[in-house]
Amino acid sequence: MTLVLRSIEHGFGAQKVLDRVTFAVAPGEVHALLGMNGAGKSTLLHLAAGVYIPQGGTVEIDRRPVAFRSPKEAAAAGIVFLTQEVDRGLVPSLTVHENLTVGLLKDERQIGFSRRNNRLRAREMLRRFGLDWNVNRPVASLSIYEKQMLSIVRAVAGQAKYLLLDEPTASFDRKEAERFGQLIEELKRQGIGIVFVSHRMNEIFALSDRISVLRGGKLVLERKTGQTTLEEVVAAMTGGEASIRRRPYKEREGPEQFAVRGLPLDPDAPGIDLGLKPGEIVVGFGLLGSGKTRLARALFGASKPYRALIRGNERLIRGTRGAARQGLAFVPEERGKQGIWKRYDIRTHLALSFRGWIFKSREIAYARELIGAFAISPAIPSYKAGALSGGNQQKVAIAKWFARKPVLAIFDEPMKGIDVAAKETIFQMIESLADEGASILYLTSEPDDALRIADRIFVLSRRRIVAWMSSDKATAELLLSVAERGEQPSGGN
Amino acid sequence: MEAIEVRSKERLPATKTVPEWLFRYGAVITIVGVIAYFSVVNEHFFTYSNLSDILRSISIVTFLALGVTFSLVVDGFDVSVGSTTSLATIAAASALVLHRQELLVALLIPLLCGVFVGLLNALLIVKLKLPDLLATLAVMYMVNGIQLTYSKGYSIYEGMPSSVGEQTGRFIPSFKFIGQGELFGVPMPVLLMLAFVLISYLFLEFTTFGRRMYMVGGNPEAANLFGISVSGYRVFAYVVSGLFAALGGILLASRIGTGQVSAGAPLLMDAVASAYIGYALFGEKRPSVVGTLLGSILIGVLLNGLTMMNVPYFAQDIVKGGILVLALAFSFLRKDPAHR
Repeated sequence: MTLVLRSIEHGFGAQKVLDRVTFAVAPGEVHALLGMNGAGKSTLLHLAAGVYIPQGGTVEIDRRPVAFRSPKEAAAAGIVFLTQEVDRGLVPSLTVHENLTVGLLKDERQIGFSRRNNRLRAREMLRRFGLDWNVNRPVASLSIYEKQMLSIVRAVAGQAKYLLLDEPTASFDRKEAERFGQLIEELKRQGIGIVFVSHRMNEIFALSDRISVLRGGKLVLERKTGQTTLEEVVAAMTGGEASIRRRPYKEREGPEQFAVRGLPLDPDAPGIDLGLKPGEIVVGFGLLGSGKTRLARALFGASKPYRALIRGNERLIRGTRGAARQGLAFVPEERGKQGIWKRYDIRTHLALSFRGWIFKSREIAYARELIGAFAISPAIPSYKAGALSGGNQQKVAIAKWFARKPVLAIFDEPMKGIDVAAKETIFQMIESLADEGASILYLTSEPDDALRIADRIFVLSRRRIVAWMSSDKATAELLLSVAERGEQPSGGN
Repeated sequence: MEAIEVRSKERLPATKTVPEWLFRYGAVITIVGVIAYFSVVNEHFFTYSNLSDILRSISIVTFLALGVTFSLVVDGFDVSVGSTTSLATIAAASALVLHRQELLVALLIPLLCGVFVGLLNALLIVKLKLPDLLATLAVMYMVNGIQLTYSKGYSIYEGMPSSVGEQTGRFIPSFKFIGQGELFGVPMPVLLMLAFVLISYLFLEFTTFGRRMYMVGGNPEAANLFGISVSGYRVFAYVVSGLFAALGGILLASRIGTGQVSAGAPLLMDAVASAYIGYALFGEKRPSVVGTLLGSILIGVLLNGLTMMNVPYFAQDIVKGGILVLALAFSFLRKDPAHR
């Protein structure tokens, strides 16, 4: 009863994402899958779950090749994929017990429905995993942790034999992660095979039986958990860092042009202190769930009013409009949803900060200038932003701020889903913004990107800053291990 | 234009450029076709007096439709414009007849009513976050109730009886001139309509303020994260919508010379239809002033032509509905590569 993905090859367009990867999970085994973003983890899970059909190689259960054409067929064979978006598949307006049994009832072709029996049944299912919940609560009121647990229990009750979990613990606190660990132990006892993607190393070493590491679409490491070390795994993930081009490090002079003290992100965590000098690029490094997006939105005034010191004057930033007026710029993470207007053309984006009457010729001239400077392609001012490629959309999303001459530009994970060629242009855009005197705050979970662009780096973990370092002292290993441990590295370790 | 050409070269085989072109100008062709058809069928159709009649008949509806268009631009919807028009009609008539006011006051009070309704809509939609359709529907009932309660359900006209004897207030000539006068042989309502259409057009298409309204409607989240005050522009749009509805009410009162109760109600659906035909025009799925004007003209031409052909008025709604479906279908069937 082993699930095997044998020499899988897959790609999107010309880009090869997986190159002859073999990956197996046995019943009762936890197999951790690791790799940086873009290494191919997510694609591999999608292939195993029948979301994509592999272009090469086979999926086998018990040495018998199976060809899933849809997630439904994979689920029928006992393979359930739980994505990071735990809300998917749950009905928020229904109660816990209704959500738990909805699949079972469908299989049993029940027409009548007894609420009382259903509650009892749901309670029993949860109790088997040591969860004593009120099953009458609507799912909308559950925390992410509870939703994740509910999805897992439901999948197992529906006779899932293999669970594919994509970063299930990303936003869990310590206690929740502990209980999640107990659930995994219980699932192992029941003989369920688990594929587990996570960035938290301590968790991986505590829970998994085997570890595989992907890098650039290739399997670079596969070991029994007891036979490897944190250092070996991290080295396999990053693959050394000779290839990374770094920004020449230089100490910045002069006073800070943007500073905040004690900006609250979380009632339980101490506030964030930040100070940025003109032309300085500060990277905030943190894993998923560390509070990067929360920090970015808070600074741009999208959550609560706060006070900041801007060019020596104390300013109250009340909202996004106030933030933009005080010279802040923000390139949000969800490019398509938050950064651009898909139905409007490039010119409109670039000229958004213009005031008064619209002079088309002036705007087109300005747009052509920026399009040329940042190699936006196609170089047509009237081209709709929604028809551009991801990288070019991001260039537009950044370039729309250039006319403002920002004091502080905040970037939240700007390289998400962007190919290598566009990436370098975007780094240069950010640098040219800094050269014009803007301070840059660049938030990311990619150590390579952090090292490429940073003057200084701080590490964010559980919504607090746990370490500061200058870029010449930082390495990918150091960043990852500090972010995972959630504390300042102590001397000898 | 440039973008369309490039896209069609890149993404579509040459044979498909004809339907693309048809989608884009389908609604315009329809208008031209309808006018041509009526001109051929009826010799009295394509005459100066008839065309000016058509324009005069759509002038008031166009004001309401402009209001709806502003609400559509910020991705909202205002169905309270009909009631607002009724309220403004009653307010103007009351100021003139019951309170014997001068022109300025008789104009100012209805306009203030419009602003008030707009602010009420904005309060419900922006502050209380009610869905736009439901909020303005509720306001539509409330405002209709207010004007009925105030007038006790009776129209306000010159010399109407009251507890203190006959009312002595008059619809003064300067007020009547707005709805009944002519300038250089063109009816005043038509001139006013064209003037406000032009102002709205310049405002929405050629100022950055107007462009920001479109940006708010196009992607509120992105607008907010660019530091554009989404709430501010929404409030503004609903106030403008209320103002346009009130202007329609003033014109209506002046044209018929009485304050009819609930006079604006039948105008609502035509206004909404005009704005939506305009929304679909050019296959853009984008509310626009020119589109709304053309939509309003299309409906006006149809009603006029059908009346001349002795189609009973109760059957004309069927045609109106059909035209709306046709216009929307043209635009929604079109594949939009920028919005998959």
